[in-house]
Amino acid sequence: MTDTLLSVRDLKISFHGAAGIFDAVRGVSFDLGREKLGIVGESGSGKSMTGRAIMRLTPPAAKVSAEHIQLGDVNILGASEATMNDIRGRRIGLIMQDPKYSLNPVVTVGEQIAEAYRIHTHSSSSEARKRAVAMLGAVQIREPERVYRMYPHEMSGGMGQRIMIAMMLVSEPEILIADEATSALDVTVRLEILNLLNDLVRKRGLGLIFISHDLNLVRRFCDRVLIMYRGRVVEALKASELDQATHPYTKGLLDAMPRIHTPRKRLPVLTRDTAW
Amino acid sequence: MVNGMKEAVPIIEIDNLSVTFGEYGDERRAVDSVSFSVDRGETFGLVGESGSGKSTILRAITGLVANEASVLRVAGTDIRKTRGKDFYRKVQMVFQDPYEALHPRHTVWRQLMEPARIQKLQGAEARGHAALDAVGLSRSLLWRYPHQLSGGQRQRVAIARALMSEPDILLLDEPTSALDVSVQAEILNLLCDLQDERGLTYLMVTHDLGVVAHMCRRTAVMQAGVIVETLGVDALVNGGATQEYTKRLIAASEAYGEDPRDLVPVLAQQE
Amino acid sequence: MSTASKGLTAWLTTEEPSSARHAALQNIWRVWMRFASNPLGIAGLAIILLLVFIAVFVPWLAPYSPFDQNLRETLVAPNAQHLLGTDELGRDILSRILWGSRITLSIVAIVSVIVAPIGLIVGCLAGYYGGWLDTILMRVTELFLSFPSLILALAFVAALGPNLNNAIIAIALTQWPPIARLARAESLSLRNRDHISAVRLMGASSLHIVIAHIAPLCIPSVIVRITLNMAGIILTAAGLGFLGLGAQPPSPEWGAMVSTGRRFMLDSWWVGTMPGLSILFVSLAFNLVGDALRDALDPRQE
Repeated sequence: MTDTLLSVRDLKISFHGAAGIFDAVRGVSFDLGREKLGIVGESGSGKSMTGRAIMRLTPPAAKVSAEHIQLGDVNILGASEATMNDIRGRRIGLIMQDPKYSLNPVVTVGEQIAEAYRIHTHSSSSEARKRAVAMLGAVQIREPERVYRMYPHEMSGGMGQRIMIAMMLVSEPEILIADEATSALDVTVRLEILNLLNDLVRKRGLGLIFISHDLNLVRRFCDRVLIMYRGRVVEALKASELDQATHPYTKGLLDAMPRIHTPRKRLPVLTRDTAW
Repeated sequence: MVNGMKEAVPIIEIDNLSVTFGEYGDERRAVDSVSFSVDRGETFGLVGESGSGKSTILRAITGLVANEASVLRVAGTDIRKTRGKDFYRKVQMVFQDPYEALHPRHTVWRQLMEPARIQKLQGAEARGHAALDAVGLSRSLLWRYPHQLSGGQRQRVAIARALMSEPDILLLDEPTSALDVSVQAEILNLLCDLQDERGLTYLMVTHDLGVVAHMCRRTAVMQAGVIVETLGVDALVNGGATQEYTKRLIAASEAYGEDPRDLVPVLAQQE
Repeated sequence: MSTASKGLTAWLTTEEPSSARHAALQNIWRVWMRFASNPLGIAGLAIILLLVFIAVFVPWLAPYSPFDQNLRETLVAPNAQHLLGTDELGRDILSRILWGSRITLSIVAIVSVIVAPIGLIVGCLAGYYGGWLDTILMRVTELFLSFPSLILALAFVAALGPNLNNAIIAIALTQWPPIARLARAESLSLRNRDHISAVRLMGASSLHIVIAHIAPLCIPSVIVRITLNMAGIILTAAGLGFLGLGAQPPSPEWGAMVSTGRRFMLDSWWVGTMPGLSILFVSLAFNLVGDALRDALDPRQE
């Protein structure tokens, strides 16, 4: 890790509702370089909320506080909404689980990518079109010219996810946040998407935050892993050293997964400690 | 049985099962001439990627989708034309998303009493309590609504509901894929325990080879509505697959499986 | 907050309800809490409750009889004796409006009692069974929908004879088709949901599924829709009254009052304006309550 793209210190997110205060994130800190950083946790661990907070896309009811969320020279916490609009998409891209919800159903995918490019670079529409087609090629879509004219509902899951990645990349962001981006995909398609993300980090020097519930996937794909439980990072380690995890939660998660090659009669069940 | 060996008795027999969706002229074969049989007391897996038709087979067996077959028998009874009351007692289904599968405005207790009422089961209350105990649900959850339960609790309620009629066969449609890993372990253990106690037969649909390896004895691998091959799980995980598609599926699953090797070289090979 | 009401709140919000009734009450409580968080909805509810209160106690509230004429005091502007003035026959307008609340409420009540079951039954049957039953029921529904509701109501009233009861029946006949369409759409989406499949796998008959599972889940949106349509129903009733086809003189129906007020619009504005404002407020109140109910009953909120 040579340079830090993003630095998060003591991030806290809480919801104030009728039923009282709910702390979704309780003091999360990490730095992101030009690397693949995995954030792993089960539902309710606050991993997605952490990703949202970086883009300042938390729901209105959420109260966000932190020492800082520093993106280069900008502190995201104090930035104006205009600055944030510029950052979203242009400096930080977000890919979510279901591309269908993120794409406009009545506009062709090519035009949506071109539009994203035009908004951020103020270039001509023919230039934007050229870039969009090139970007479709870059995410390994065959016949980009034909796909340019297709509508989101004509896409398969893997193709839709490539379109989302193309759309995020066309404005050349520094950071990409993938929130369960491959969870809905079949295993064979998933490999191709991971491959693509890996290339992008290597060739373009992106910082990738890979949010997932799948510990095996993250350990094989990412450089570093943060394991979150109930709003806290319980453990942070190199992905290759996950076997030496010391925290009982991490160990419990690893144990609870069914294994292809080492069958066991019963799966060990995680016992949760309220002190974690 | 003289030698103590359990003889394999087929409880589900399927030959040439096909399901066609769509209107005349725009038809799509979701399941195409599928044949397999499941023995009493075993767990049989149906593995495949989305759109392979694996869930459609379960729905065809239960009659939720129209189908044609040369043989479709459950416990020796032909169910191609009609399914009697007895069928719905013997065969129950557990769905992928337990929140979707439970009535959104009924309490846990009412969810359990519904099958008792419909099937006019004797001793409904005793059965309800027994089912709750079997799945390890606390009595304090009795009057909660599904939205007040966790994902694992919801799936336990759904399983308890399926147990009300004391079935022989459970059709499991991705029963843990909507759940967290630690909860998945609990539910899979529960399913194993129930099988040991009650001698249940499971027909389990899943896309997760890890789950298949853990649960099943035999499995059918499906692609585009067709069974590519049927094989023992030992063979599946130890390189005994003969078909190209099966091998690819295993390779893709193992690429990010428990093997601690780095994924990047594997990815490079794929290119 | 007193300890008793604190205890009640705790009982209503506890995580572990102790019986089916307890759980049902908690459900109602949650809907009420969501409804109560909408100030406009509360304002609308307050107006409707006031209307109900007036309708019940109007013999004691109204300062005069709604029918007593006083030809020496015709078209008197609002003053201390007659807070809202008098009409062309010297009747006290305030008293007539207060008595008119009974007519308005009975229209609202009778129309909902007729419309909700018809719409629900037709819609759920068509949506769940599909096929030829759906085709027949929906063609009939469309037949009703293809006429503007006021015109259709006019035709019915003209055929049945102009009076208030016939007007109510005519309105009900024009109001069930949208409800049926709504219930059908809901049933269509429910039909393929897993929890309905689960009930089918218990061997339940189609009729049981429609009655016990589909229809109850359609009821919240039907209630919301009827509440939102109530403004239209009141206006249609007023429109029929205005055209002389609804309530007949001398009954103090608001639409008929606006109709007579029209003749004195330039010199005596209050004769038509006061009942007109009543129609406006009550219609608005039903709309506000309907909006708030839609949010409160939405299961996605839970």
